[in-house]
Amino acid sequence: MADIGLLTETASQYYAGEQTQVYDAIAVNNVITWTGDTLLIATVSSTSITNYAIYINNVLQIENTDYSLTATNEVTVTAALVNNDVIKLRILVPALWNNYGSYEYTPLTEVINNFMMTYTGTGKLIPSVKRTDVIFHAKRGMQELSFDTLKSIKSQELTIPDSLSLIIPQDYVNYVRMSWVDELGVKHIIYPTTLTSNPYTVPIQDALGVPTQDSLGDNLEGTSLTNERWATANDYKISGAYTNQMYNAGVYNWTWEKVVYGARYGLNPSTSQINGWFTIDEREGKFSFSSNLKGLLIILEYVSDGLSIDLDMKIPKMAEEAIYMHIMYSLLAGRLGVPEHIVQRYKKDRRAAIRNAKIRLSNIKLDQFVQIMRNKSKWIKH
Amino acid sequence: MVNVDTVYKTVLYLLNKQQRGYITPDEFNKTSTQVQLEMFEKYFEDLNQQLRVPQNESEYGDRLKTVDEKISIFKTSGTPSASAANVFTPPTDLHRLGSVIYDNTTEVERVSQKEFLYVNNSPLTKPSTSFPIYTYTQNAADPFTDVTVYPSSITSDISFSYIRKPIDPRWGYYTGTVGQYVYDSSPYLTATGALVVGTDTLTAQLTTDASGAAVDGSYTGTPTNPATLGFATDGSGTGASITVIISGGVVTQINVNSGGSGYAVEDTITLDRAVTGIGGLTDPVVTLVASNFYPNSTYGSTNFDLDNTDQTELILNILAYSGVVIRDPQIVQTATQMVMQEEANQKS
Repeated sequence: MADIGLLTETASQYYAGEQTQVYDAIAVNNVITWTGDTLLIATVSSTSITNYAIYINNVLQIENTDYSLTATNEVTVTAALVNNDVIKLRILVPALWNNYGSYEYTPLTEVINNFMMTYTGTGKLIPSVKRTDVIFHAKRGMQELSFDTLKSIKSQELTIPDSLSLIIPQDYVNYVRMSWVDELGVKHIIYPTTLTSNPYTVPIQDALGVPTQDSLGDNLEGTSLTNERWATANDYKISGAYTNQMYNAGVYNWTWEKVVYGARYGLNPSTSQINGWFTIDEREGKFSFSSNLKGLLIILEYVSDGLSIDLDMKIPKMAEEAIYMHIMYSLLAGRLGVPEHIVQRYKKDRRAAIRNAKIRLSNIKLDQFVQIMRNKSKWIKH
Repeated sequence: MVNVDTVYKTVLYLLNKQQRGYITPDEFNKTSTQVQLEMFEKYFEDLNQQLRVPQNESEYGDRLKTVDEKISIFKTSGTPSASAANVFTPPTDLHRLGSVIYDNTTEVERVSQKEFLYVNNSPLTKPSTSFPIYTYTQNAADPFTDVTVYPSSITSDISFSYIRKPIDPRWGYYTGTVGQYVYDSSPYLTATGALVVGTDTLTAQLTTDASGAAVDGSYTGTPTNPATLGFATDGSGTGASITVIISGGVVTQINVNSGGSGYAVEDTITLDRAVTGIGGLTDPVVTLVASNFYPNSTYGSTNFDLDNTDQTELILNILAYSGVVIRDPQIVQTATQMVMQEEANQKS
């Protein structure tokens, strides 16, 4: 039987996250070696980051009392065992979730090793290369592809506090979409605005308008009045929304013989919406929201660069060729003595591979396409 | 491996063909060491040369594979000793460092000290346990060139693959009955304090015989301290196997069957009459002298470490040096021409 298949986990290891072993008192097999894909993590310095648990005859055991991780993916059970006891190792959530669907991806470490093995060496276009260079280009490729090809969008569900600002996520590179969520769970897009801005520095000025300094010669900093005004702004004054004040003022009163009723001259469509706005305060590293969003539930969708945590460092198999081509092109382009036509060939290959990856990852399915076109009242035969 | 006796005898045959001259075993051993090192070093240059030439996939005509086979004899691996937390000292028989391996799975990449500074300071290339790096520099604390692995959290599970030094060839001999050199095929033992293996090698060192009515026979044992089955030594040697032959009531021959280790000059080896059943009036005693040990004797042979396929070139090279030794320019010229011809054939 061939043994070149890529799946290495058993169905039990994948679906249930479990591996069992029957204790043999003669062989004293109290060490269970986990052969699944998830790397076992033990509690370190009393901080519980364990991603697995041990059960004996379905009874949960206590880590570092009844069992401990003694080597990479090797757990030694120290609890008393009798012949035919069933030792079960179970991967815990969220490590189990992380493993689901993992076949969709290739880890970046594997990409680097594959590249070193296949694309470099004697008799190849790149006879020798420092692995450090490959790592650099692989990670840069990961960053570049993360922004617009991989669609690996992260999201956070947050509530806007009274301060109307939220701290930018730790691994944030750029936002994709900001929406508030109504009671039906439906998203309403919050738009960024250019109506206001967040000043990066707010020097305190003297009577002549000259910035003042402290005893160390640095400019004294104040609080931004622009921000204060934006935070307390009445939204309807910008959006032009109909308010009770308008009603009370009789703006659209019937007695005006409906002359202006429904007519909203000079209205700016881009600001005439009730979803609110946000700005990014680079100085404080925060998102600032318009006052009408106070207390609302929002979903922040953003992109990272795929390098922030180990778990992120994987590339969809649909884009694997794109990263190989990116590394190849980047190495050749920066190399002395490589004929220009070779560089250009790989430039084209890289572009084609990235385009291919984009199309694949766009997930355009014919059925969905047809369904959406039906929405448009089009007659589609298929 | 190339048999040292075959090479020596062939060289002698070629030299003596027209009564040109003769090289002694000592001259041969020194010349052989020099030639072996020359040819060994040339392997790496040959490898580099072949790597730059397109090869073929044939079974026996691939020159790159041929050179690699010659080098493979010297390829080995070992676990270094850690001289500090993340600093490792290579094995003593290292000639060229190949790969440094972490946890049996990950190659540790070599960088220069300057590169290390940049690699370590860049978040993208910073060494990790998935992609560790090392510098290879002289360590002031010890006389060796040490491997310093980064990240410094790696303090164990490091192994090396490397090219070991070739072992010096040696044509061992003892003097025959008419004064001729007789080839000693027993291997030259490198263990410290190993006794010279051979027939009669300890007979001359008998300082006390089993006088009186000793029982004739062959007595074999291992001298240890304390004694084992009547064979004792006052030193710390172990593992040697000795056979004492008694004939006519006196010790006539003492042979060493295996050399053991840890024995020293002036150590005594004593046979307990009562335990061994030798009989007689005194215990036979052997007092070891310098010539009972390999570095001071002519005994023990070591074959050439080079690949069998290099026997011809080896002989020709030694012949060329021998021509220098016996001052015969014709030999030098002929041998050198033949070596060059073979080289040209191998590389053109």
